[in-house]
Amino acid sequence: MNGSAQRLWEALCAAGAASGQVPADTAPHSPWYVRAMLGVAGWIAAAFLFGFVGQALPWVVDSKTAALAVGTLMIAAAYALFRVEVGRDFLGQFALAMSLAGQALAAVGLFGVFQREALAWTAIGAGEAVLAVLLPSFVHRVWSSYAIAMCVAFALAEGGAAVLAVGAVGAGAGWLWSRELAWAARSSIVRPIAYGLTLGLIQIQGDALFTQGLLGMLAEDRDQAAWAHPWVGQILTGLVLVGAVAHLVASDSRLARRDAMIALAAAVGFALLSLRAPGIATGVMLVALGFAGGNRLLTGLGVAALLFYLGAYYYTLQATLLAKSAVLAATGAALLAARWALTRWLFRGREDAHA
Amino acid sequence: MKSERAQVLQWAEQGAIARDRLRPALRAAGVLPGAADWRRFLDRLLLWIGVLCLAAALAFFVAYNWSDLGRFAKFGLVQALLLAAIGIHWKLGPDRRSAQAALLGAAVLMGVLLALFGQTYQTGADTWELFAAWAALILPWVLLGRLAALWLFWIALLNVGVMLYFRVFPGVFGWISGIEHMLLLLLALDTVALAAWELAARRFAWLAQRWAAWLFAVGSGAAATALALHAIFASGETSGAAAVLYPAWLVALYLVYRRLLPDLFMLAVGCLSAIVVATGGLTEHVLDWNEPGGFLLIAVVVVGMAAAAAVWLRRVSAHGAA
Repeated sequence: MNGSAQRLWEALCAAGAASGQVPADTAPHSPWYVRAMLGVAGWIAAAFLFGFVGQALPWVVDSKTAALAVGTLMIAAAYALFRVEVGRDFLGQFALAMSLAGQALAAVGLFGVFQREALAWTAIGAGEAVLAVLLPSFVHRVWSSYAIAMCVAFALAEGGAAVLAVGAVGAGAGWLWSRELAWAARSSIVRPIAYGLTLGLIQIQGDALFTQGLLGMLAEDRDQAAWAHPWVGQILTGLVLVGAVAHLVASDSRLARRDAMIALAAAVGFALLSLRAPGIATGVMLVALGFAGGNRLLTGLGVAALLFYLGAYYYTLQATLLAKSAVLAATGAALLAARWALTRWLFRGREDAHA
Repeated sequence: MKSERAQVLQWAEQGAIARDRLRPALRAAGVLPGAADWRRFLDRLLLWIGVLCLAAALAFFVAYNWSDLGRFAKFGLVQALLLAAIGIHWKLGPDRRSAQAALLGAAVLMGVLLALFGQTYQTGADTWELFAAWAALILPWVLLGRLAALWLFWIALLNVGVMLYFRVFPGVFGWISGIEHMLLLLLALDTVALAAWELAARRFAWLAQRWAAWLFAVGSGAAATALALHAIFASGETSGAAAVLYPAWLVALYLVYRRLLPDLFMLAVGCLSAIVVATGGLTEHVLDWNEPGGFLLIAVVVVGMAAAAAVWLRRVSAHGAA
């Protein structure tokens, strides 16, 4: 136990939030960038493992049943390796690579088994959901839940409802982040899944901005449902933002009523803006959830996503540059006016009241 | 080296903090924002997104090249807004948040003005020249602005300028290929930026933000890794500089961020780069595409390197926290 943990524990005890001896440090801690490094290395190793299976047992890749069976076996072996305590670093990393290669193989099999792509994506997504809960590895959980997000989006696109992809994945990510503290006892499962869905959400929202994106191309090949207008999806995404903020406001009992109303009004404002400049609602939701939870990584992801969406907006084809320029000018002016109004009237003289 | 947030959440998962005490605990640890933090957050969010939207709006407007609006009106509009942004910065003084946002907006508008100039007078200039001129013209503001984001923006402009330059002149430097020369320049640019940032951050508190140094390290690491991979896979077309420069970069990264300025992120960047380059080397020299054994061998080696890196980084982290 190091000194800073000791001091933090004492501070919590002094505030009445904890009592007794400082708990033993059971889990070795890896910062997010070490985990990201392990994830990338895991995928590199998985690609070579997949190559090995393809070269050594070519009939496995050619047969849908064999691919599904061998892939599932590899995932099961990975599960067993994850559970071994001795030599955990090497075996855990090997298990990660083996599971990823097994998933690729199983996916090949599932696409052979199901004639309809939407069903194959749904099956893969369901399998990833099981893995996200079962396999006891932070990096693996992030990957599996990212895969769930992508499968949901692809299944919707193939099933004729591509416009719902951002809203559906956004609702999942927002819901998990807003439950993070309530489910703190299951933090090692909930947190990586929330991160994985968030990464998927950022990619799907970015992709949805382009007609030539992955989703756009999938949707182009399939008849989309009659009701599936882009604005339906944008309204859903806006509602997700408003819902997330409403939950944040409701869960903080110390928030003054007027501040709560301001936060909700801001959320509705951003949701409306997002109808014209898609991506704003998603980015703002991630930033708000990150800031509310004191999660700087999530806030940073949200800010990076917002900047990317702003840049990507230039290339979207739904409107002319002149129309987009007008939307952005109105948005910028409205935001600065709102800030001016807040500092001038609502926040004035209140810096000390709640500090 | 755990963050307060990660530490409190771990205690909650261990059951050492009751569920109903978790929120108060996170508040006591200074993790959850208070009402004043929320106001500051909303204030900054509205300010920065607002300014960026306005600057982007003008850029889109100029790019649309609206023929109904004469050239003088367009120049007048861009210049008036540029002057207004500088005026706001000057009037509010350099330390106010809104003044800094106005300066960043002005830096973006300078690029818009240059683009409008090129569009109107068909100067025939290449895009990289626009970026070079843009970077040169805003340099005084960057120097005076005391704003980390502005420096980042400036270095990003230089990076884009270098990449665009080599799109126009891919093989102009004879004995070494264009790609290698571009990677060498990007490596030099981002490494110098990183070193300068680290030195300056010791003097100026407003530069002491690790995420900015991390971004430069990612840029520098990406260029170094790509340079080494290029030397491995296109060995006939390279000067061989990577054989010296890449190990030197790796050793320098280790010495600086293990000894002088301990920083786990930088070491993780070095580890990932080494893993990727070693995999590249094995793929080129060991792998026989028709022979399964090589695939398995490389997979195991990659797993071994990653596991070793994780163990080493954790040891360094524990050592740093003790």
